Amino acid sequence: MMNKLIVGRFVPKDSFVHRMDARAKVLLSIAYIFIIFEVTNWLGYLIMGLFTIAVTSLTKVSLKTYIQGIKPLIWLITFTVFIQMFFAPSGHVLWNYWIFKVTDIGLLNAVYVLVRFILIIMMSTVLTLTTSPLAIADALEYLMKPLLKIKFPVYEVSLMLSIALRFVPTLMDETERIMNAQRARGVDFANGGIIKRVKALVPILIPLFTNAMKRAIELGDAMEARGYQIDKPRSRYRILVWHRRDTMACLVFGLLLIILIIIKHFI
Amino acid sequence: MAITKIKKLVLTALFMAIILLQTQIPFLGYIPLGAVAVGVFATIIQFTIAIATIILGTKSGIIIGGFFGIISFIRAWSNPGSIGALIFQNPFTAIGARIMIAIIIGWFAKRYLINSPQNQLFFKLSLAGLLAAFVNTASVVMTTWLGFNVMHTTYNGIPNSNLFHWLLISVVGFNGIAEMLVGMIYVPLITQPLLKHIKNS
Repeated sequence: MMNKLIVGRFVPKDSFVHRMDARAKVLLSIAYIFIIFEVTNWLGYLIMGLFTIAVTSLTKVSLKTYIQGIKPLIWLITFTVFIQMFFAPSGHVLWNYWIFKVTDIGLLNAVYVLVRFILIIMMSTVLTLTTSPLAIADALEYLMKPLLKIKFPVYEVSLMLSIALRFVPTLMDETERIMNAQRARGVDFANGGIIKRVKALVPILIPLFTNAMKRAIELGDAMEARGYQIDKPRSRYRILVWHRRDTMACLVFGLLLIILIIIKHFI
Repeated sequence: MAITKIKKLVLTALFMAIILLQTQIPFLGYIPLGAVAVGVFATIIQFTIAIATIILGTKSGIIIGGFFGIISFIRAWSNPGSIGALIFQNPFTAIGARIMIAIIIGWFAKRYLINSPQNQLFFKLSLAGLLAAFVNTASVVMTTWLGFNVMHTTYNGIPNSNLFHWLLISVVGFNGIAEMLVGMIYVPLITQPLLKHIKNS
């Protein structure tokens, strides 16, 4: 079960990208998705591809890990590419059968979608491989700070996020224990119709929810006993520091965007 | 048990942890109904939002629903598990639909569940399950339709084809019917012992 968990995918290393501020990484990952949609020709995709490979090599995590991240999505990517190929509404028709037609634009779009898909997955993997979930939570808290002006409970939401991330591994172990206990009683989780599967899930979820509530009540008691109060200013244990390398990374992204705009409009 | 503000905060966080777990372990969050790669499966995560709303109230439900929406949105862009998941690249579909569940179930709980006689509770919770699935499906279909036909959005991997848009919406509709059935069984079976547990704590 653990290998499916995205939040557990952080690989601690001492690389340039690992050392970057989590806020910069979150912001640049979002910017990357916007930038890639600015790309409309093969030269732009080539530059984005080379840039992404350069970033992945800066993480000091083997390329094999990134490929492993793409592997489970191969079927989906293939399906999407075929759908894109057969359902393109315009372009010069190269092949036609019943409702399906392959056009030159459809073919080109399919290749672009394939490349875009892989690049976005690789870049989001860079973020999760190089940033711990708690650092991402801290970064999100900082980035949400402007919402304080509209009285959005930023600190409460960020505390909830930290508690949730802290308890995921605990709840996962508990799920595994409950499932093993149910298996020992002869419950079959893999087979059967929809009703049977729902019935098999209930004996897992009731103890899981009940135990989570028990833990929440205990944790709430402990927090109250230590005098925790909502709506009071808090000091921080983990402090995010913006370095020159973060500014540099932002500048490189800016440069990339300028190059792509030039390619889009002038080449 | 009177739930204090801090306990409510921690309970909300634990529900968020359960949602995170359900999105990451397919077995806990999705019941496959056939062509999984296309996205034909009953999602049961919206029922966790409904259960949390019934137990903790609308505000916590909205936070949990919004959290699930943001996870769906991020996954749809970075790691979509199926073709059906691609429609959640639209933030209105991913986040708006899940917040709607909390709002409607919150209203339903206030109106029909609080102080409900014990012998009617199972039936009313079944209705809440059905309503949660219906609201989710209706909101997803509506925002997707609006996205395709009014805003003319085309997302990563979704070709601008009417036929394909209908295919996607059909998948969501088919899943929705299965989810209503699952919700009617699942919500009362989980919520009743939890309410009892809170009462006894």
